[in-house]
Amino acid sequence: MLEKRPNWSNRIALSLLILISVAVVIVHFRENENGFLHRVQKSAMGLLTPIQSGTLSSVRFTTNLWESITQFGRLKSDNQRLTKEVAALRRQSVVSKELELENERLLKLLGAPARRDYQTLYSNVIGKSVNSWQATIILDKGMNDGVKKHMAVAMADGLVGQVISVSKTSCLVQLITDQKCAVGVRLQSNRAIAVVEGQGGKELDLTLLPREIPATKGELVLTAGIGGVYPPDIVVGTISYVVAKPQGIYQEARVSPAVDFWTLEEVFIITGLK
Amino acid sequence: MQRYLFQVSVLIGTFIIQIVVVPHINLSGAQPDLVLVVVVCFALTEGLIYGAASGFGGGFLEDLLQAKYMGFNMLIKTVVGAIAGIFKDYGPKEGILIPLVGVFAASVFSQIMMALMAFLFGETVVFKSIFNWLIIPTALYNVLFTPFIYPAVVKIVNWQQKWARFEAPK
Repeated sequence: MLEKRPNWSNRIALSLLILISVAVVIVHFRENENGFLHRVQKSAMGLLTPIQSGTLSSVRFTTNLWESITQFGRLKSDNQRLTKEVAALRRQSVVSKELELENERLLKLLGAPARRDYQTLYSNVIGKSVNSWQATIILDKGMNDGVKKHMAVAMADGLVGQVISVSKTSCLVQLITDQKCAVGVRLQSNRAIAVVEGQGGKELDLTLLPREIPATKGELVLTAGIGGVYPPDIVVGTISYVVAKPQGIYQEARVSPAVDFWTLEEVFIITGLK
Repeated sequence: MQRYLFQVSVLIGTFIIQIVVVPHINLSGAQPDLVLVVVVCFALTEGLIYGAASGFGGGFLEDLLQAKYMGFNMLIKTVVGAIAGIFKDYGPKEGILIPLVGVFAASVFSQIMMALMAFLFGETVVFKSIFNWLIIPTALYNVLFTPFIYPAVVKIVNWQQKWARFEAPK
């Protein structure tokens, strides 16, 4: 049976709760970054940081311990293989350094600017989105470490996202897979510019790519460096699907991100130019 | 008052599990909303106003980590809690069928509301794709946790009621 009609005090309480919720939505949407509700959110993020990083440390410790115990036998053969790889990489590193120096000399001769390096801040992922509606992560670096809003976040594999909110000790990063995220990109082979948009799932939509631009499956997509948030030439992913529609001026394509967002543990925040 | 304090403690505990554990059991973008499951369970055992209050509190906690639109979760969960509360005593208290159906319906409703509100605030929402990979998987994921959460909530509420009777002045 259905619950009997609520009495007046309950009706008033329910209306009040709904009214407060609506007011919060409107005030938060209308106020600026330093508004009261935004400050409450930042303080809450700061308060939750120790809980999240503490739990993460315990989880990692337990996982590492378990892996060490279960994979002890394999470690010995891995060690031998890695020792050989280190020797090969050392030789390769010397050759790379030579090539780098040669490249610098040639660029100087041509009068072209050398490739710029970025200052980065290493950071741990201490939290992830609390619901399916946003693709975000929380990092253990904040204002106290020099992190600012709109700084790009990447890892060795490629682009991760951008900082969208900063508290004193932590920051919130919007992943490029988030539905509200769009990144200006360039195809590596022909330098054509397009836009990659998150759709909440594993893949990204490649939009605004004109039909006449040749794009193939497996092609590398890099940041274009336009828009002022993401520096150029960071790997975003590879084209996983492309169809030139008979009508329309743009192609339909999707990009598979270079980063595995489900297993992110450490990233670096790009804080500026070197 | 004591009843509310009890609810708040359970919601805070669930919220901590939600932010600490749940992100690690993400399946292709969909993850369970344990706070929503607890809100629906509270509403089904305690009624409309307690359901709405739990939704308000749980939504507020989630909104603290919502970057763009604070208040979405508060509003949606308050409404969900109130609607679920109407169905209090609908079927046997210990039965699991009503909570399962309730959680599924509440999950689908709240996700659709979330999409509509995002659309209202100018976001691009592709309803067909979110229905396939977000709304239904999240609802099923929530249903999966209900047989564990609902009996626990019923036990907590019963224990709290007994304790309140014991504490009440004679």
